[in-house]
Amino acid sequence: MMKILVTSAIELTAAQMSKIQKAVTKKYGSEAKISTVVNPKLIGGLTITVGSRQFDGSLRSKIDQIKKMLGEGTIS
Amino acid sequence: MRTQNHHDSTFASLIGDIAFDTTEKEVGTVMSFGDGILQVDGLENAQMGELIDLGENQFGLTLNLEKDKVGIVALGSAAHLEAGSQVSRTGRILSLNVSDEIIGRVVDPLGRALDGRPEVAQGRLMNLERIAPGVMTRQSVTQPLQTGVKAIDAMIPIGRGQRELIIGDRGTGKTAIAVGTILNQADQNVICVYVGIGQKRSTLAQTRQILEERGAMNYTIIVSASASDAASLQYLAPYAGVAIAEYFLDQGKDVLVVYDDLTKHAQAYREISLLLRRPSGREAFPGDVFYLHSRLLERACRLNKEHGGGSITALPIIETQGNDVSAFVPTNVISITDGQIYLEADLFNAGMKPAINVGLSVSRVGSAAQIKSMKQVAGTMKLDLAQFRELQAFAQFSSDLDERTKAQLDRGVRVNAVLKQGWDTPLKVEEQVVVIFAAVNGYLDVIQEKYLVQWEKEYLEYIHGQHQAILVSMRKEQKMSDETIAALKSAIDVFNRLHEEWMLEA
Repeated sequence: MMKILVTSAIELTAAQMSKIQKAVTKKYGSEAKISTVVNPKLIGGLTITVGSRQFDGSLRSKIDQIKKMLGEGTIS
Repeated sequence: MRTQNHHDSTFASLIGDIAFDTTEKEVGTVMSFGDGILQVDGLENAQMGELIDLGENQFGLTLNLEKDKVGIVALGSAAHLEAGSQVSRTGRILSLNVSDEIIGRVVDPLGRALDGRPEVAQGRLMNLERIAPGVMTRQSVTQPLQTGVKAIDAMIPIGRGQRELIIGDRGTGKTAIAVGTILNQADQNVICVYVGIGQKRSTLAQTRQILEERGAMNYTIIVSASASDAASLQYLAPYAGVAIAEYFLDQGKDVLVVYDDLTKHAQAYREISLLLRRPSGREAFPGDVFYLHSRLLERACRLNKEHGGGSITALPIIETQGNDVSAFVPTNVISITDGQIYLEADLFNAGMKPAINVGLSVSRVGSAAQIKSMKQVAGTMKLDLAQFRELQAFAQFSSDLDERTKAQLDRGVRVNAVLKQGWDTPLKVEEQVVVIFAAVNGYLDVIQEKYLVQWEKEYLEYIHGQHQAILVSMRKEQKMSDETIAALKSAIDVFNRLHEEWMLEA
């Protein structure tokens, strides 16, 4: 049985949860069990962890990407 | 106002370039973290020797892959981690970024700047672990690597692409020889990499200052994992050094790498292996401590023309305890390298500096890596010195010596004295040849022992001042023609006559 962890910045509404449930079932079959965690550090968006694969759609990671680009990016 | 707008638009375009897709990464959870070793759950597809992102710009290295967990060595303190923290794969096998701008910099084994200047510009990602060049890509060693030290260049010559071990007790001048060699590469078209493993930062700062003052940083890179750095970084430092060297090797250049020192490297690896609970063997070293050094030193090579013709020369340093060259790690490295320079504390304390024991030192490349002029003068020097040493022991017990023995002893003393040298005064090969020529051909026999050092100094000044042509012709032809030899002989005669006050009582 697949264990899937959904981490979000704020509490998800029932409508959002059912959307996620549908997408997960489509990809991993009905055997998937979803557990949720709220982590304000994400700022916005959510991350979905399947086993050791993590799909990171949080605002935090996008901001980190900008930080990295500005720190290392070359200005032409 | 115009600059403000300019900045705004560049920022706007930078930000516009960022792709805000959902990223996918592989993560794991820290189950335990202690003594720099993390046990991580997850990371199912982690590869051996892969860099793991621990967060806060810290990285770890996978060293143990097990069925249900991964053993990761933290490359740094990683003090922010706790049980339950998340770490992720970078997908990058351990590598560091090298570009031409790395010359003159001081970096850590991951390529991060340690000299307070900006990070090294993007270049190639060089893997720290790389398979050594194969048999068919290599060429035999024929070009000399001039160390500037008379004793070495004359009797234990080093060639480009060779591995020569510098071995001795603490405080015998091992680092001095290595740094002196780096100083001598100023006009030799050789890039130098100095790897400091487990050294005191104060020592490294001093070394760096000396290199800067003498302009050596224009062709030198320093890789440092000092004594207070994690054992994992000390373990990686030599591989980082040779990875940087390989960047230049691939461009067809000649590189010199100094590993100071591999004893501390083996100790750091022992520390990590014991913490990873790998079985230990002799002297508590893990079973693969030979492989640790052999795979490092095998990457020193001289490539043939089709592969660029570049070379990496390695000067590993090993510190012995109580002159014991039959200890575990010293015997390992001696069997790997193409010869050793053996430094003795007794010689050092007796005033013989560099304290090289010429009898026990060897270079397996030998005269194949010497230019003709040096071969002409130094050919019999090693034999003469060996005979002198035997005579010395004998002469201590008998006061009645025949003329011939006495003469041989006196000659030996003078040739030996000529080998003394300041560690930071490397000599060009032409200068070495004229000095050794004078010694082995008896021109010093008439000079008193106590004036020998002064004689050499003023002699070189004299040759530079009045007979520059001799040096120039030697540099050009790489050998001593009959005219050069005749000119040199008369020059020495003249010089000796100028300094009657140094001569022995007739």
